[in-house]
Amino acid sequence: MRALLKRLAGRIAQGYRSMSIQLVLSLSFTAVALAGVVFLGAGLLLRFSDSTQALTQESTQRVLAQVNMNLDSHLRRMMRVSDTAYYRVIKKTDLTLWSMTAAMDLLYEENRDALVSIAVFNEGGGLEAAVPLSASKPSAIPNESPWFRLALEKMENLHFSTPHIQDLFDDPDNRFRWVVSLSRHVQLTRDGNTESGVLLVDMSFSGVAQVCRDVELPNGGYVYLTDRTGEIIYHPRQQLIYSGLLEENNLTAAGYSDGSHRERFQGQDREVTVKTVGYTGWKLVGVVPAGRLWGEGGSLPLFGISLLLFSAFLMAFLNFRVSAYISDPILRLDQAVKELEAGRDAVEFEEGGCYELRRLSRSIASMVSTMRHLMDDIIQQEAQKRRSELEVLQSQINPHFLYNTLDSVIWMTESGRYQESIQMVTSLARLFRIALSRGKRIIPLADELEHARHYLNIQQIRYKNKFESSVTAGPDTDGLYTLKLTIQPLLENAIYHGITGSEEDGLISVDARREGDDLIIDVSDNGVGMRPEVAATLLSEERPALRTTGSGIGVRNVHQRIRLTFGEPYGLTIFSEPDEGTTIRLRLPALDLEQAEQYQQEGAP
Amino acid sequence: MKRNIRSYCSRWAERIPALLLGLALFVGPAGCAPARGKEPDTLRLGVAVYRQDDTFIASVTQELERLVRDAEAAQGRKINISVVDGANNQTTQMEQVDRFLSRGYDILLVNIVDRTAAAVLIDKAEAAGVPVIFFNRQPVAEDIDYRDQVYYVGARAEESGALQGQLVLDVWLDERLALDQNGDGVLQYVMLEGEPGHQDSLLRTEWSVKTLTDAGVEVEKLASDAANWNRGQAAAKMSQWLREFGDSIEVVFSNNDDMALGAIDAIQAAGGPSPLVVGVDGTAPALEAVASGELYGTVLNNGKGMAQAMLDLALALAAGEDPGRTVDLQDGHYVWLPYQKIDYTNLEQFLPQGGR
Amino acid sequence: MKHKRNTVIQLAILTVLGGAVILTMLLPQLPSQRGAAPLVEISVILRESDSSLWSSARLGMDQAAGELGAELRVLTLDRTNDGTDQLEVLRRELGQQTDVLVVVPADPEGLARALPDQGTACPVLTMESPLEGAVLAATPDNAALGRALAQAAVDDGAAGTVLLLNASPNSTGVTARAAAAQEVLEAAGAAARVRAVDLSAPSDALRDLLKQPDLTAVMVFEPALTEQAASLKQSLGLDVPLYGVGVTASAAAWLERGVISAAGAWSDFAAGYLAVEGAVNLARGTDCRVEQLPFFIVRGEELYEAEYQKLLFPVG
Repeated sequence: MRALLKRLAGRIAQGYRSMSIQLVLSLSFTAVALAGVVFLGAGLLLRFSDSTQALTQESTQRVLAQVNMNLDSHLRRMMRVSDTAYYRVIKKTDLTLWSMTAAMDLLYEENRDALVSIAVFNEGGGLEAAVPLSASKPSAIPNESPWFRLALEKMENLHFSTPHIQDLFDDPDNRFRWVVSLSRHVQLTRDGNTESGVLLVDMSFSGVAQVCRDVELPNGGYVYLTDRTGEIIYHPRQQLIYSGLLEENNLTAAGYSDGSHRERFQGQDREVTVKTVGYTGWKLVGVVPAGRLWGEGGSLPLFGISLLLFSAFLMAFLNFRVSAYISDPILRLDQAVKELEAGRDAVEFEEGGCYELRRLSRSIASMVSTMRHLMDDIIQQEAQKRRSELEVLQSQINPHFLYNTLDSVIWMTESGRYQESIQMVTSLARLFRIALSRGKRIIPLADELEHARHYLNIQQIRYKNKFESSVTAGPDTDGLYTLKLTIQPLLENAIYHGITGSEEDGLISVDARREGDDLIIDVSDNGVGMRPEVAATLLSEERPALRTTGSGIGVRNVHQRIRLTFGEPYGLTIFSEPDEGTTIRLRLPALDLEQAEQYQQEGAP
Repeated sequence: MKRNIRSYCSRWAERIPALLLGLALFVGPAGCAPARGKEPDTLRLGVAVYRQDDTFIASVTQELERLVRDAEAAQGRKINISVVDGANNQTTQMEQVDRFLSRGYDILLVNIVDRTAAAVLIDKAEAAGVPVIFFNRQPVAEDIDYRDQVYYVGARAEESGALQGQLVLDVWLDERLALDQNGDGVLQYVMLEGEPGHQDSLLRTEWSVKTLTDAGVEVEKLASDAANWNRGQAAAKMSQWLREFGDSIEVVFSNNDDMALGAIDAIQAAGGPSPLVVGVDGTAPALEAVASGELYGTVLNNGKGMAQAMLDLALALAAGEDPGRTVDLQDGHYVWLPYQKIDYTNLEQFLPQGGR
Repeated sequence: MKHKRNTVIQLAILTVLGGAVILTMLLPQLPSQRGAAPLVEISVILRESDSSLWSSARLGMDQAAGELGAELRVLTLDRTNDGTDQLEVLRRELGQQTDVLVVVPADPEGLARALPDQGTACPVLTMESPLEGAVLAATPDNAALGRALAQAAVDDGAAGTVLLLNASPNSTGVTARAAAAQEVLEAAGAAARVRAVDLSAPSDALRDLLKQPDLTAVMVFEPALTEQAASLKQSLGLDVPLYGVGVTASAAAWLERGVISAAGAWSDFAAGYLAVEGAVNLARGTDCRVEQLPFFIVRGEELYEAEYQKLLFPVG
């Protein structure tokens, strides 16, 4: 059991962890609401059933009191008939002189609805007078009847019998009528002497039944009447009981004292209320089946339950709405953060929901933007650093080149080729001036091209005119600016790798032109060239930065600098075929002065 | 995903009115009880009689039941007839009428216990929209005349009284010596009356004697008493009178046959000479008594005709036709049936065919 | 995905609650809750032309009909014991779509032959005589009744010739009573003379039969004949002891006066009640009490014993 509970708790905890906040909120709200409704409903129902029971008892008792009163007045009326017959008729009549029939007839007619007969018998059971029928049955033996014997035994009392068929008078219509006999001892006067006799007033059974019949008890209850021994006098389904088709708990009920009792009869709980009718000792028994709350009287609690369920329904609905209202902004926030995690740039944070959430999402948003700024700064600084590193690298003129050039100048001066050495020194000076350019990164294209020209001049002299060169620029390139020191590394590359290994007369050309908003500078040679696969790897950053022959790094350096400065579509493209030559194409934005100024400042360390 | 969340919320919002409407639709019919379907082709006739053991009434209801079977076959329509016995108790009868009405009976045929209670009964039936046909026991005209859908089928009580008087008058005129046993030229009679207050007993008592006196016959009333239409009570009264008056009773007028037979019972029990006994109703035992000569004559209260007229009227009302076209309706409410004298001479035509 | 699950769970909760609300509202209106099952139409087809013999039984039928929700049509025949007429009435009732038939068959064999032709699923409950394809209910053990009645006659000293009258030779129930009585009589050494009479014919034949001088007892086995034989015996002033079946009001009067020596009887009210109860159960397809109705032999002097008067005379 405990293990089971533990497991259940574990399951719930697990489920809780995997549930969304909305579900948790809505389920717990609903559970609380339902529990409240159930408690309320159970309380009301208990209260209702208590009060219903009390009400049932009360109304049963009231009804019984009413029936008792009616029955009492009915019986009193019969007793008055008996009294009148005795004191006004029998006592005043000397049987030898007069007949009592006329006076009794009057009494009978007066009470015709409730009476079957009035009869006087002498002590031997002989009929003295009777109305309305007067011929007694030959088989009738009144003095053996219980009512006759009782009247003689207890002569001071009036005696009520249980219902029986009247068997005294010959009725040509063969009617067998159920009666309740009221008998008493009387004094008959005959010839001046008194003798004992019995006065019998037979009430019609239907008169008694009438009193008890139109009684309505709650829950389909009913009222029956027994004598003191439990013998049934009236029952709404009397004939069924008489026929043996139905049983009643009458014998037990006769033992009850007045008041309410609870009994179980034939598998049914019932509330039995007993009231004793005065004088006769008869008992009125009201029977109300218990537990019929759901029967025809049960529509009220059912309606209450329905109302409670409806309110639970409304509450659940509202709970779901409220929980959605609370959790939707959280979910949206969650969503946004997830997107952010996924690396999306344009994540927007909606500000919705309650105050705390608003603040939360606002602070997350501001946090994100701060983070982004910081990150941008870092990236920028990083790029700056690289660029300047590269630029520093770039600007370091290969000392060999300087030594070689100066060696060549010395050698030419020694050999008296002053004109050439002057040209060479001039070009070298010019080369350095442009390379420095007062620290600017962006210089006019013309300067860059001039730098290339001077470099080529020096190299041509050094390589004893082993190659021809040309530097040309399209007319629409005037006034354009470019990143400095981009062409020279390519020329160096073309000379060292393209021309020196070549047998033929080399040709190196630099051609600048404008293509839309782009500036294109092609550096071509007709040297040894290379396979396209090698050409493709030349610019790759994965390639180990080996400084094997000194300046392969230079080409890549140029490419990276352009990329760092201008971004993606710009940079170098290499076209090459073995033994055909190589063309390296520089693609740069066509910068006018203004844009150049902008880059200049941006790029400032 | 974001759109998903929002649309989920708005979906709920859209549903609220629909949900409320749905609930309202369910709550709506909860208030009214569903009407119970009833086969329209079954005609239900509720017959409430004052006392089933009244021989005449029993013969009427039995005839009615037989006629209903025939009508059912003729009309191809199911007719349910239910006869209940009021046991001479108006309260009981009211309950029975209430039950008929609550069970949706189409037409009520009422042989009312207490004619003064008719107004209450008519009100109930009127409220339920059910036509009422009273028979044999006539409510006061005020209750019938000013209402729709209320009818009476019966015979004029004064006519029966007159015919009863006529029967005796004929004998007086033809065989005066046989009738006037003491030869004093005065007709000594006793009168057995029906229930006190019942209009038939009042009118028959009045008119039977009036016919004689109008014809110039001198009469002497020895005794007159109510025996409540009842054979046994009549026998008790009669035997008392026989003791009191002995042979001087020349004629016994009885308001109905049952009491006449009771008188005959008493006369036979007492022995001695038989006075002339006349009854009213023409019940089967009375006809037998006429045949055996114990009962001089009776006046036929046309039970068969009454049953026929009641059924015709009921069928016309059920079909929504003008009842005046199928039965001889007088004053818009009354069907009067003629009485007929019966004595030994014309007995044959009234005896039922065959045995029992 | 999670949202979808949430929606599903919430909708399920709302549906359950809403369903419960609707259920509690509709519950009191369901017919089964109201106890107002549709009215069962019961056609009761007697085999007599006069229903007054059945007045007590009808009280029971009416009570059962009122309590169990049934509507009764009690139908009599034009002539007592006319099997063809009964078949005709039965056919008409079936044509009018009655829910269940209660039949006291005049000619059970003829009826059983004709019943299947009707091709109907209408349940049939039979009284008095067993009928093929029908449930026998509210009927005493016919053979035992006949034996007990004959025993009563034997106890009274019936020897020599005993006249057994049967007005319904086609009715197996009545004939079974007569046959059982005959056995007992013959076992006791009496000679049983069995005769058939026709109740719908004039009573002259019956008169002649009763007037036979050598009879020590007359036995009849059904209420109609009991009444008729008793009234004839009374009017003819015969002394021969009469044993009958069925205690109607007039039979009770004759019992009391000694015109009938003893009668086999049962509670007519109970019979009527049980018949209608059984019929309603048949129509509703529930189990039906088919136990035999207890009977007893009653003599005039026992008529007013508390037990018997409760069973014999309707209260009211």
